Amino acid sequence: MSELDKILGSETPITPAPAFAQNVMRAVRQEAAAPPPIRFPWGRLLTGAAATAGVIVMAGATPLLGAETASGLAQSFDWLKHVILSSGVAWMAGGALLSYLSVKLSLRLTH
Amino acid sequence: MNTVPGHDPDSADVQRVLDGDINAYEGIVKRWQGPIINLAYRFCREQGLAEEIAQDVFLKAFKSLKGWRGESRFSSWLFALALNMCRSRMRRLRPVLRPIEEAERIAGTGQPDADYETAEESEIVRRLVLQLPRKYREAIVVFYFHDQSVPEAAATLKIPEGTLKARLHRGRELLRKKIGARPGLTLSLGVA
Repeated sequence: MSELDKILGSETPITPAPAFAQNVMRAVRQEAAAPPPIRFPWGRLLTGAAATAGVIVMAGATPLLGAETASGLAQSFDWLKHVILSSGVAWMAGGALLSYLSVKLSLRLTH
Repeated sequence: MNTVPGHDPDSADVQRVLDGDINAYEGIVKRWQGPIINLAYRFCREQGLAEEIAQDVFLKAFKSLKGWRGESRFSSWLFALALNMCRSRMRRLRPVLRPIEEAERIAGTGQPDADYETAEESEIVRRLVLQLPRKYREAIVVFYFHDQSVPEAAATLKIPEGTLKARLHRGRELLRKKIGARPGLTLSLGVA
């Protein structure tokens, strides 16, 4: 056994503070009692995103269609607009974008 | 850690916790608090900080208990989790070799005069390990933490045993160079 092995292998163990286990259990109980985190409303976001995509496709296709079809599409367009506004997709997209940017920024600052 | 053959107290406690008995987690904490605090201490060399890291480890382990599937030993899973926690904490608190005076103070606590110099040098060498690049530092710290057991250290580090041996070899070389650069240490350690 080398001198280095002797030094590195002979570390005196430290003893945990007497209240360590109690403190951990207090934190664990707090954790267990905490309400579950609010889940991100992926369902609503996806519905809104699908509706937005539909609106964009329809808006692009309208000039290419006849007057009757265009009128029918306009009604669907109103319905989709209602879905988008009521699902609050703009707010969620804004929130998701803001979260993404803040995570990127903090990662950039820590590296 | 000794266990009665055929009875794994960790598995039993984990199952009880997963069944809703949070108090069963105390058995796990009491069984592993010493090893986890000591592992963290070897990375930071401050008892207060080591206990903070260990508390975070136990909290994280509690939240991720479902993630332990019993394929590996509970201790291996817990040590790997502790190592990750040490990595993330030490990334923020870059390991700095404290002034020699602090190593002297630590080594001198309760030590008889004859052992004083050896204890001081040992403390300096352990602090020099923390200045090695991460992969060598981890290999050396974990290997000696596991009483020089290659299989156990490789399991904690999640690397093949051959890779660990190579890192230990290179890590020791780098460490010897660092020791050699300190004139006072070179002679008494017999490291040329």
